[in-house]
Amino acid sequence: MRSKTQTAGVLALALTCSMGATVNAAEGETVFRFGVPYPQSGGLAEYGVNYSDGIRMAIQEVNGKGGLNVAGKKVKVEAVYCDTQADTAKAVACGRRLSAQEKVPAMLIATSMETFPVMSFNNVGKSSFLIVSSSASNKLAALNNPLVVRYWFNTYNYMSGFTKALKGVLATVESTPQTVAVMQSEDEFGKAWAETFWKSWTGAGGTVGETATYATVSTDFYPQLTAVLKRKPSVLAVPGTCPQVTSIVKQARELGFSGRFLFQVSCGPEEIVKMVGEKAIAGSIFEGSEWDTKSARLTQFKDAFKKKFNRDALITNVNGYAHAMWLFSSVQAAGSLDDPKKIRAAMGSTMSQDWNLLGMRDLQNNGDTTATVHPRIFKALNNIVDYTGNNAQVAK
Amino acid sequence: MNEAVQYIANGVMTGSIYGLLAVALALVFGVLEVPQFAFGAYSMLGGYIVALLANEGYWIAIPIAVLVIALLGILTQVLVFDPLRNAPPGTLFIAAFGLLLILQGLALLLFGPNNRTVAEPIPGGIKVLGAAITYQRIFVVCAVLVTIVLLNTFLRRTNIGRSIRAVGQSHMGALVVGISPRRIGLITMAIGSGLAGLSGVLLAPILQVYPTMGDGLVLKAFIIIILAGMGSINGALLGGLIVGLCESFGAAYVSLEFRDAYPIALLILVLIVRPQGMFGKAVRTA
Repeated sequence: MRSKTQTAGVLALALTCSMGATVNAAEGETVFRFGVPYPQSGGLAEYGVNYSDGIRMAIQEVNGKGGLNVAGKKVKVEAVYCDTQADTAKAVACGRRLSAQEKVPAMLIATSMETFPVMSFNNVGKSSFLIVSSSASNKLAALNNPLVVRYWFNTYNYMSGFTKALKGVLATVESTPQTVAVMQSEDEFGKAWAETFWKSWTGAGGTVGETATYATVSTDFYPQLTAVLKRKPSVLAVPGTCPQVTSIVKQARELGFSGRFLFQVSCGPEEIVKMVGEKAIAGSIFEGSEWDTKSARLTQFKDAFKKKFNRDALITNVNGYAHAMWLFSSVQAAGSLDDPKKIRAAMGSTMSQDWNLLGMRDLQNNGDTTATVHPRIFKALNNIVDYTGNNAQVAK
Repeated sequence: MNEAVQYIANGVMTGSIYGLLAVALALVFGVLEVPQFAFGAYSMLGGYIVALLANEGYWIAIPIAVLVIALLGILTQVLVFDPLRNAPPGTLFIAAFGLLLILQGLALLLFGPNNRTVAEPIPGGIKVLGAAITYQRIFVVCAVLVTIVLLNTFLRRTNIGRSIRAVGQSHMGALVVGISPRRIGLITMAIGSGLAGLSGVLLAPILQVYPTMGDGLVLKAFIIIILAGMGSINGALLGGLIVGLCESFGAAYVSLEFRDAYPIALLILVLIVRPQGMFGKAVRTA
């Protein structure tokens, strides 16, 4: 009798573990579990923490309201985290574990470095799963993976419009043509940004100076900076995560660079100023987005984030939040907890909901989405000029 | 010309930090035969102590950090390496590597994943033949040189220093003349650990402090002590400078992408031409 009971117990446990949606035995409630492989340690840890805090906020918001309503049933949400250490091999190991052992039907992924290795097996066999990614590389869409969607700015889509606007902006504030040198991180994102920028900027009649690559774990950039600054560029593009970029800014100034920096969309002025001060980036250019508007919903998000985490919200926080909320709302719309195809099919219809704080739109079959990026010129934290629309200057 | 001076300045600064850590490793390996990979973590902890004591002032933080890390060295010697003194070399390697991972994990738990920065205590810089060099970087190079001079004086002019050298040459011989290798081992580990901590203290205002900041450093330091010849203290410093310059000029004139590969290529070359290392002595075995 005891043996039968034990066997039944083991079988029940195995069955429970094998399902994406699990039953929490203690509380008797259904739980939707999803995977989050992200850098908890290593060179991108700060970025990873900001991303995952956005996800935590979304989880708290949904569970605080009693959970999702899936096919008439209340379902709580729960993330299963895994530390990728910003390493592609470890990202694969995390992806495999979350897929094979945790049986999650969906994963939220912040960087290209983790997205592409995991994409190599997300649509294979029975344990397929959906990926919501913020890779900025066009490769994500080019791969035509039916179980991948992007919630971020594709450099390939926005760069042409951005560089044209930037050329116009710089022509109004500078009398000489601007040469842009690039410090590029040696990952998929850095490559995608630098390539699309190079094409668009030269296409718009601009000149690109030296390009140097650096490892994502670097903090000493003197060798690269010495090389890129030797021809005295007027702008130094530093597409990368804020913690790394701040070191580049500091060291470039030490080496005598007096021009403007160009920062990419995930690195905002507030974060940079905290580390290097306002003076170091005076006149610099930022890629601006919906995040820089002062909509009521964004203000509400920023207030809620500050209340929960006792610090100001960053665009990376809202990115994690939106990833999670997009997944949750699509699970609810699909009425399925474990079918990634059904959840993916529902994602187009849920984009119009108010969680979409970065204004991503037009979900395509290849998983791509669109959003506008505009130039911003930094003068001081309380004086940032946004150049939106038809290159019209809208002073803050 | 300007560029070449800049590359020399870059290489000398990086090389002096590599050299300092390599000296610490060479000293400990020479006396205790412990491949102390955890020195990478000691360097990181030195940086964290300075970051935590930033409000008290950088100059006060330096001796505190060095002392704390030296005590940590004694503690790990007593708890980890001394009990393993008769274990095969592979065990010591695993213990040192394990210690590195444990300390990194602890740093992540205690200090969080966010990178820390330390304000430069000596802001500003000068132009030397067109090259921009910050005072902080000049201070780092000078501090390393002074430290190595003091270490040399200590090892050659004091009884304890001479005892350390004696144990490094022969444990049995040292025992015969009344020197306790275990006591000397503790002192050596304390000095080596303090030097490793000092490397992190010096780097903190220049770069950033984070849990894995010592990984690359300790790897380079190991390459350097093999390159220089095991046990050669001054050779380790020179090796560090050579590796720093090799990286700097290689990155400038060959390819930036292979920056980390140049020291390994140099190591292979040296091992082919001079297997005992650049400054090591050939040892005949029966």
